Amino acid sequence: MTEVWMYFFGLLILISGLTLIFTENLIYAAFLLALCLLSIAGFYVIYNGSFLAVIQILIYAGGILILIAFGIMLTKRSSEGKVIVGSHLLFFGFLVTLGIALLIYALVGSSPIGPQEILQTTGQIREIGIRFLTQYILAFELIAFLLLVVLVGASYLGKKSQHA
Amino acid sequence: MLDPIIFGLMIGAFLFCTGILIVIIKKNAIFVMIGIELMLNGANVNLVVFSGSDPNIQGQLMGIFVVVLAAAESVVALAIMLNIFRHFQTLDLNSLKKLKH
Repeated sequence: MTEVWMYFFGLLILISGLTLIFTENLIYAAFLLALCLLSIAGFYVIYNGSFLAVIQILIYAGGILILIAFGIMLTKRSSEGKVIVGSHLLFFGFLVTLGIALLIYALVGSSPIGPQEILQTTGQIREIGIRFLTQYILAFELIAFLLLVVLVGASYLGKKSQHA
Repeated sequence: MLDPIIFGLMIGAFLFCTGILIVIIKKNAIFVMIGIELMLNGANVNLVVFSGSDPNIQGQLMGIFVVVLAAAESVVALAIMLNIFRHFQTLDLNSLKKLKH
């Protein structure tokens, strides 16, 4: 049953990713990104990452996506109905992507990854909380500091400047 | 039937490649940011897949930091984009060439 869900979410990620490449409407792109992020959250649950799945739904699908939708609405000229985004550098882009895909394929193929069992542990949140306040305390505090800096910086950048 | 670890790595690689392709070929700055989010998610999928067989869930802890950094990055990027739009009245990357005020 787990495998069925794994392939289901994998297929959803594939479909939304491919549609995201070929769509030209920016609003559709935002909602396809929502579908992609939610199916990634489902994918995390299968790989024993249920806490990260919740975080993904809260922060990505709830926060970043709203922010992107705001960005689209605020940077749209009222004369145009739809926001149509064209493409450029098509040949170069597909070439680079193909190169990187082949590189990753070669790396994964040559790495000594054997078939391993996916664990399903419980009590993850307790484990994560203990680790954040002991082993990763420096990174945790630095992240808090970074968030403060981002809060101040974004509100400064977002305000209308007087001399512009 | 694929091995679940290999399947997860394939999905992560697909997301990363999709992100790079969108970053290169799209003309709008917000679309480029969507591509960057996809690349970060591809890296995160890799971390979670490797932590799936690890009882210490180290990869998942790293993934939480990645999500927070991605949120911070997109907030600042959108604030800068709003300023650029106020100044140039467009977000088309081909027409943003001047650094002059």
